[in-house]
Amino acid sequence: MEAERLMKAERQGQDGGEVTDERLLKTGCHAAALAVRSARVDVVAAYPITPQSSVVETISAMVEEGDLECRFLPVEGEHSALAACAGAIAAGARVFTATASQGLLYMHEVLHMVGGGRLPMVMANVNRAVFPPWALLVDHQDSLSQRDTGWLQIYVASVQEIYNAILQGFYITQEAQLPVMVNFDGFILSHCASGVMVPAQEVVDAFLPPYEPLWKLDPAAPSSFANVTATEYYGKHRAMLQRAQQEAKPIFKEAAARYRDHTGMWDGDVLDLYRTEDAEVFVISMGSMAAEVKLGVDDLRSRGIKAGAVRIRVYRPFPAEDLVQVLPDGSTAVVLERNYSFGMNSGILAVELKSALYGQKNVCIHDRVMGIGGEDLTWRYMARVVEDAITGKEATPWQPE
Amino acid sequence: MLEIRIHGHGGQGTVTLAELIAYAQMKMGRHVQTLPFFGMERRGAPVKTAMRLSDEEILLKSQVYKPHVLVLLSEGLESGAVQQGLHKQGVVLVNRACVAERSGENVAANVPGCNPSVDAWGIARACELVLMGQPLINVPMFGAVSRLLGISPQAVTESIEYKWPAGSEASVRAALRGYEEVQGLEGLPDMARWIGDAAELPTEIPMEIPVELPTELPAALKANRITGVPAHPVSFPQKGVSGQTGTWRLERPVINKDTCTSCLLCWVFCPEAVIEKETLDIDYTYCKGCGVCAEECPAKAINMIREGE
Repeated sequence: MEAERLMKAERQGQDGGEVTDERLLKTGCHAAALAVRSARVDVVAAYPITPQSSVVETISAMVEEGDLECRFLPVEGEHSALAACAGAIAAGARVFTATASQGLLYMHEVLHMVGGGRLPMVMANVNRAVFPPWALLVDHQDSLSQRDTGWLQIYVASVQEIYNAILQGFYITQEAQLPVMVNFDGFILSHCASGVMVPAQEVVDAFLPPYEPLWKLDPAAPSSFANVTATEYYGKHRAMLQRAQQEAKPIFKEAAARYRDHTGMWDGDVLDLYRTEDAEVFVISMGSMAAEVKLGVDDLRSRGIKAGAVRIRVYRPFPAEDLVQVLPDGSTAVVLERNYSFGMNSGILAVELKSALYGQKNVCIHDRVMGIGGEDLTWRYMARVVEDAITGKEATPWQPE
Repeated sequence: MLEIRIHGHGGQGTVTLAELIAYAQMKMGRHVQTLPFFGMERRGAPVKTAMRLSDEEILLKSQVYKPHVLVLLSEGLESGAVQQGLHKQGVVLVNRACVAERSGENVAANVPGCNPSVDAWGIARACELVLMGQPLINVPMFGAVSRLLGISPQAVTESIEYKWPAGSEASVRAALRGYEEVQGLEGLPDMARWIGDAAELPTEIPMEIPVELPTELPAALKANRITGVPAHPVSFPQKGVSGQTGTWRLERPVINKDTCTSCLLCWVFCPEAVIEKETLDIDYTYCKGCGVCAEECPAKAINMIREGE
């Protein structure tokens, strides 16, 4: 019952258009691979890593079986994977890769190259804790550590949204000329099988026209990419990158509206709001936990606490203005987040929320780091943490239910 | 505080010259600072190294905009840029051998006041101070600068021995010759007083450096709807985009077609691609005189000839 209502809440805005599409039972990893096929990607260069492996394994099999006309490059590591992607984009291809955790950290240098180089591509990052000690399950330390590389970042909350966000990502990356990282929670979403609506190919093609690069490396008209440059040029390029991030926000909204017009599905705005209209307590989070916490909000409301949920769906560019709009003066925000900002005695999201609201809105902000290394987060637990935070109790110790 | 700016071409040793001066001054109990500025780190390109000498701790970290002393290692430097901000009683020390035979422009001649000079090129050659075909003109120049700054011949020797503990004999000889042979010291201002003076903060600093965006870009790059300017770090090769690099040259390669075997190694190795493959003619408008072709030529058919000869 609750799950059904939750699904409805997540799909609000869906106009239930004509069903010419397929509904398949797919894991998150498979949904990502299906989105790559739907987007008619030209080049995939990747290296497998848990829990992402079945994304690239599935793509590899699609290519092998002739199901996807694409050049698949199995390289020797993630640094090479993204470097190969960069070359392919510069040559004018539509490009995708997928990684997780250590693989993303290993890519860090090339993330700057692709972001700073304004190379359009989509990457799926399956969020997984970073070592040491080794851990396989989800938290958001890997991708949040890549915050300042110039990539747009989306965090999704359902298997369907993985598919939708990757397809929208290809539209966004072309329009913004910035790479898009679609993050989804390891195992919770990557290995969770659910119904995935895959629109007919002609519907996707209408949404996402063939890729036409603004520029490409061409031996017939020689040019060089990212050559050494003088200080005054370099500064301009970095300033343009900053500006492009800020100006990408309307493109997310445009892509979502366009996607809804073509597919009838809605996954889109930079924030996903739940019962926030009259709320006094705002529960702010990202990823899959931000879906389940909606049930926690219902629970808090049933006990007289006027709670609402804010899912930060687009993390870069940070939706500062949107949050200022949503959070009224005198309200309380409880940030629940799967990461640490070491040395700040906080999580990264709370630091950024405070920065966004500073001088704009007077909001009491509590921060609770939780779900590290895959600790299971139930709505009951999250609701209790929120209640304890606003009533001034000590942080609730986590324990399995 | 005294500020010095040394101008030269990449590979001529402006940084080493500054460090030799700094070591000697440090040993004299002064606060010292060297500030190399390499530009594009391209051998032969115009480079500069600034330095500061003071009796007080030096807090400034920015570039030197109002030098008391200019040291010019070679000609072919744009006189306007080189002279920029020179103190009104400033001193210009030039490597005499390299002044103006070719460009017809003598930077020092445009500057009133004290303009000493020294034949650093000739001294380095005479002392057999030559590395990979290039005379080390910075060493005799160090001797000349030392004379200006009141560094003793003993301190000059110690600096060189500190820098090159093994085999410094030729360098010491060249530096001391520079010290002795520098001419035109009449009217030399009191350097020690400048060093002892409080830092003179420049009143005008060129904060806004004009930037010329490349002119020939594909229309698609301009069409980026987000920024309205070319956002991609893409460059398109254009001949002479760095200016006439031939003006950087102190020596020019000349191919002896009688002994040349047409092996084309010079054509392969030339970093500026100025050797014509079919005729082996050299485009002297852009040849920067690095001498790589002469170094690589197995038939020894390429000679480096001093400009002006």
